[in-house]
Amino acid sequence: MSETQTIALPETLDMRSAQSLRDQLAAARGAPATLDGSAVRRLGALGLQVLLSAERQWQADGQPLSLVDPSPDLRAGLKLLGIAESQSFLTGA
Amino acid sequence: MDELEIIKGTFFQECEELLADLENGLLAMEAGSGDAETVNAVFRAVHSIKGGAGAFGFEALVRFAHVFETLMDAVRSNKVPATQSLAADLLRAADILADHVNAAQSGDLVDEGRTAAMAAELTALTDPDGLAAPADDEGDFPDFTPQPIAIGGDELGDLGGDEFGFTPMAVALPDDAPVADEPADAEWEIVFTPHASLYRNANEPALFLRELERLGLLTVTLDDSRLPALEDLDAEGAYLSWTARLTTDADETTIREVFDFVEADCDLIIRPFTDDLHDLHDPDGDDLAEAPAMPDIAAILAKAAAEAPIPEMDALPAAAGAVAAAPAAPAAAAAPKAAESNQGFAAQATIRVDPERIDKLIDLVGELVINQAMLAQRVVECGLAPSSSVATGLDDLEQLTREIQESVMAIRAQPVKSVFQRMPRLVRETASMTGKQVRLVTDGEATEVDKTVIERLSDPITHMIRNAIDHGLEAPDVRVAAGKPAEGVVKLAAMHRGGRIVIEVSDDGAGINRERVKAIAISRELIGPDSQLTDDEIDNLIFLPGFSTAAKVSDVSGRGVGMDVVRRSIQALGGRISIASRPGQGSTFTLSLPLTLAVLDGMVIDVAGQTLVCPLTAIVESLKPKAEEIRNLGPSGAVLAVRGGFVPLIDIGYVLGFRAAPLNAADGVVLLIENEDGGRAALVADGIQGQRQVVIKSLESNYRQVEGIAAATILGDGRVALILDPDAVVAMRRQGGRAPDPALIAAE
Repeated sequence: MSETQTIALPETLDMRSAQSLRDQLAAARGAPATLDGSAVRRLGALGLQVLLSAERQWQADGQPLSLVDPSPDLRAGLKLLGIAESQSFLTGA
Repeated sequence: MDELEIIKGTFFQECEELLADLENGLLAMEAGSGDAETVNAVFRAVHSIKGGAGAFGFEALVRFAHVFETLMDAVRSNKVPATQSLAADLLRAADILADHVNAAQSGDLVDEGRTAAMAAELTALTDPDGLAAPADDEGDFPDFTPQPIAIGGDELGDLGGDEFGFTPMAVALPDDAPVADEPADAEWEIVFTPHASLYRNANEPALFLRELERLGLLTVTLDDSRLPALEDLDAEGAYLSWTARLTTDADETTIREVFDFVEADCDLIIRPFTDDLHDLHDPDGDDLAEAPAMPDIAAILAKAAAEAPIPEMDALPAAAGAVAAAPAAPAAAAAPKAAESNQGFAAQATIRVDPERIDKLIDLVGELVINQAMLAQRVVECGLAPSSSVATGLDDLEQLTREIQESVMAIRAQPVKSVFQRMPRLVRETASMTGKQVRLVTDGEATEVDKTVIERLSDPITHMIRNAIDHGLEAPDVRVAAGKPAEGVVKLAAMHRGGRIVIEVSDDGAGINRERVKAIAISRELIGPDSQLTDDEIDNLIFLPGFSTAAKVSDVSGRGVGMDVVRRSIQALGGRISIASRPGQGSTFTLSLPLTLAVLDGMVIDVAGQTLVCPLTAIVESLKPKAEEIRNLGPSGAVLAVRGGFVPLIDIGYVLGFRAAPLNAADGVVLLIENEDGGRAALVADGIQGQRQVVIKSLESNYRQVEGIAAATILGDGRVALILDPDAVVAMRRQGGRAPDPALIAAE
């Protein structure tokens, strides 16, 4: 049994941090995870891509993944990038 | 994060080009020759700078660029008249924008006060009535128009509340105002699928969507159907696609402009939206082929339309029907135009190449030239007849080598425009600092010269222009009193002449005050009190070290840098500078430079068993002196009688320390050289091998600077030869006190 891990999303969640976030998340696979979005100031497409890809991964692995405490900037970024119409764990944010 | 730094570097390069376009456009507007396309170009330049700056998070730059852009947008749509005085204001704003770009690049701070004042000025120009007072033509529809605005404004605020310290209302209000008269806003569908290259170039889809949002009411749908799970994810790959539905009064061109500069890096479909989904499956619809993800999106759209009716749609009952037909016509009309401009683009396609690669290539071609020369020499050494097939084959090779060298040099050649275009700003600032009225006229901007030369032209030209305005031109009242127009003219021209580039900076000012120049030179003990000098010689005194005519040290040119520094830096490039002045009519500085710093025509000479190269440009003539032409002067000095005058004899081998005592000039050959102020000297060498083009190898970067030596080269026999700096050799001799003082000679 593994415990839920909390992963803090970086302040700048775009092309600059996509690779490192991907690596960080990939290392956390196989266990329930909670993403803490409180620090995010900027969301870019590549950042979103990693989050959505992680969602597929966690689904495939049969583990729960959730987003907590999204910052207003993160919410605005998700909305702008059209996440509202998708069926994603990010949608409720 | 090296890659990001590289992309950033590209961004700043682009900024430089964009700022130049911006300035050119504004200058055209100021001169009254700008048309709608000029205004558009200016808008695009500001827009692109803002876009790039946003991607890198240069917030101060984005903020200022945004205010600028907003005003340009208003000018573009004829809400603010494009007057010449507006162009003058915009030019000042462009200077501040350039400051911001520089600050972003260097990490320095910008003058916040100046920025804020300019931003306020721009805002006032955008909306002279102030934000609180709505424009008159909206009066009839007070309740209707604000609807879409509130939404657009809100989302902007949400997104970038702290990035944009101002309200976007000013943009939205006038944009939406014409709704009153026009049938309805059109609805567009934009399918945007970035390629990985778009991300690699540091473009951010979120910014494009945000730009679209500014145009009207936007609904965005994300297609992540191609996105793999994390284990297969390339974090920098492009898997996402967006479909945006935009209700706006903007036309297709305006929408397309949002994606300016990234169209090559994405699949982009912009078309009038129709909610008749059958249209999307229309068998003759070519768009389907371009967009494989289409059916998915259509389904999503259908769902979106059903689940989330958009309030504004109610206000526009005719939209669904009208839109389907109406915008199709303009879209069709726009298509050939787009194809045309694409063709134009393809014809002028350029590639960006890292300059280091070209430098490497030039170095290699230099090696090739040397190698070819070595081979030719070996052939001669083998005793093969010049008519032998090997020798003639080598001649062909030499021809080819030269052609390659010229072609490669042409790659690095650039028009001097890049330097010239920085000057209008300098002139504006210098003019306002000195209280003079100045018009800058440039000529020959397309003149090409090697990049290595261009980089080093900027400082001398800057200094000469400052000098021309500060010292050359008179104050407006003095000019008027002298019967000249109050506005002075400074002309900056470039041309090719005799395998060199010549830059002229001339002014129509008072010319050099020779009496004052002479008095100053005497007071600074640069010349003797009873020297008899020609007008030309007096004019050239200003190039002497320690000379400055400014009675008071002015802010502008009195920065402790005199014309002597300019001359020295020009000479270091193998160039010359001279001045011609006519009292009351102005002065002209002429500087001539080699077209490249990579190769040099030189005289190969023997000095004390060493092989040296003397630049051909410095040599007036070479001769074998007769014993009776040589006069000893002092213990070790000697002078040479040439055409009725005397020039000091300087033994190169002695000055450079190759031998302990100077060679008797009668035993060697003499190279008569002339330096900038017309002073002559006779350099003594043991013998002359011949003239040759040599490839310059920097001593400074490979070893260190050596006094009297300009650079080095590799000769045909593989030996390294030093390239002389004749002026420095003369100066060394003078400092050593071994040679007779040239002034003494002149007096004789």
